[in-house]
Amino acid sequence: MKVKPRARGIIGSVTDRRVLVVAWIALSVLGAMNHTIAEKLFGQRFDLVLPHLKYGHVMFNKNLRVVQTYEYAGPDGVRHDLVELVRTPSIGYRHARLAINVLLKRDYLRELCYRAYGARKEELSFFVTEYQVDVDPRTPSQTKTLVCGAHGLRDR
Amino acid sequence: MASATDRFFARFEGTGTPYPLAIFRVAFFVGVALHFFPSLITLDDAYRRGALRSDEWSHWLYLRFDDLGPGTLRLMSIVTMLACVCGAIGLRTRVAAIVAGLGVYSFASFNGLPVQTLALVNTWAIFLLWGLVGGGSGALSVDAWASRETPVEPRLLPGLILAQTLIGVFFAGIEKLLAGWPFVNEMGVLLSYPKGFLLRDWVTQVGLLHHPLVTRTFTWFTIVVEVGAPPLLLWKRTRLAALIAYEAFFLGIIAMLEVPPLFYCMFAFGALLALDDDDVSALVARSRALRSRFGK
Repeated sequence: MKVKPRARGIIGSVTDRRVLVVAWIALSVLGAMNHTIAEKLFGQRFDLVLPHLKYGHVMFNKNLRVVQTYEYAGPDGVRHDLVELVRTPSIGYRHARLAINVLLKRDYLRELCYRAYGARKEELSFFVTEYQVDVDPRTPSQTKTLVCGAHGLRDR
Repeated sequence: MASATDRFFARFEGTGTPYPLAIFRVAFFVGVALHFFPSLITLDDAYRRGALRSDEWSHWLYLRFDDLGPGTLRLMSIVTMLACVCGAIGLRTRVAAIVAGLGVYSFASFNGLPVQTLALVNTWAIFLLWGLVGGGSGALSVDAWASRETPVEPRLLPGLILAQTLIGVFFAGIEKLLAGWPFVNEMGVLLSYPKGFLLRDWVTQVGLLHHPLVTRTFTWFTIVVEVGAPPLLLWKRTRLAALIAYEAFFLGIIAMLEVPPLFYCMFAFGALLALDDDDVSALVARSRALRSRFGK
């Protein structure tokens, strides 16, 4: 029976492959160090052009001490998870995505309000509950109510 | 006797069993599909004109978004989704990886809000490698079924994906060490988050998981696995133990934290590429022995 490797990439000779391996590993290590050691040594990060070298390898290394959870209620006053108003599903991480989106863009709540009011044409209340997890992770330190209506999202 | 250089490159040269890469291919493309398809299907939410957007990847593509009409975007989304499906079933995998990679990178650049950024760092690397090197259709694929050749796979692509994955995990551990993890019980902070934030609901309800002894154990387990497992996976004598700890770690992450399935698919299945032909044969033999022992 004929045995033939199925892959035929652009990397032909042994030397080409070895150069690719060394270059790839060196770049990956350089990219990782760009976000750790370079920042400490040079006080800045360098643009390494390739997209996978842009943000370093961060996985929960520094966690927020003050966090917020989000709910909303319609005219009946029953509270629901605010993620229910997000039209694009996110499989397996819907709360995390909402929280990160609000962190990245404070206007994200306004956007949700705009979309929700446009679809429902009824006033909603948004509840933002804040926790200081290193003080008391179970008791909210602050709760803020926002009104989502025809004039956008505003403080109550 | 092979030189040290030849031994180093052995993992990237010649051919081997195609099954670890085939399993990774399916997991990776399914993970990409789970991550991107919701926003590519409900296109008029995050990718409508005037939508709130976040510039996280290519700034050039971010600026070009306004030039694209809804029809073009819909066509791009369909082509991208088809390419992901072709990648998962192993139909012209290299072309599928190039098209899918360009597609999802474009959409992530148009707007980073519907897709969590940090899960994507390794995704771009894997797509780039797949496009450069090719391969991945040696088994469990339409291409393999159609050609009926004895399944083998060049080691270059699985070797590079493994290196990429392990470098990512190792430096995630280094970043934690530099952030002072061993002394601050960071897992205690993470596991004390309220319901509706980053934790799965069940985690917020199990009191034992918030005990300082348990959270400190998790903190140390995280550091030990992230820094220790990558080198130990490369050494044959410690590979199985390292793989078990590594898989338990990522299973723990996906079970306890709201992280995208793509994150799990890439990292958990990426470590399977450390298995060489002997490891795969031994695992197959062991599973056959177990099955015959239990009369199945």
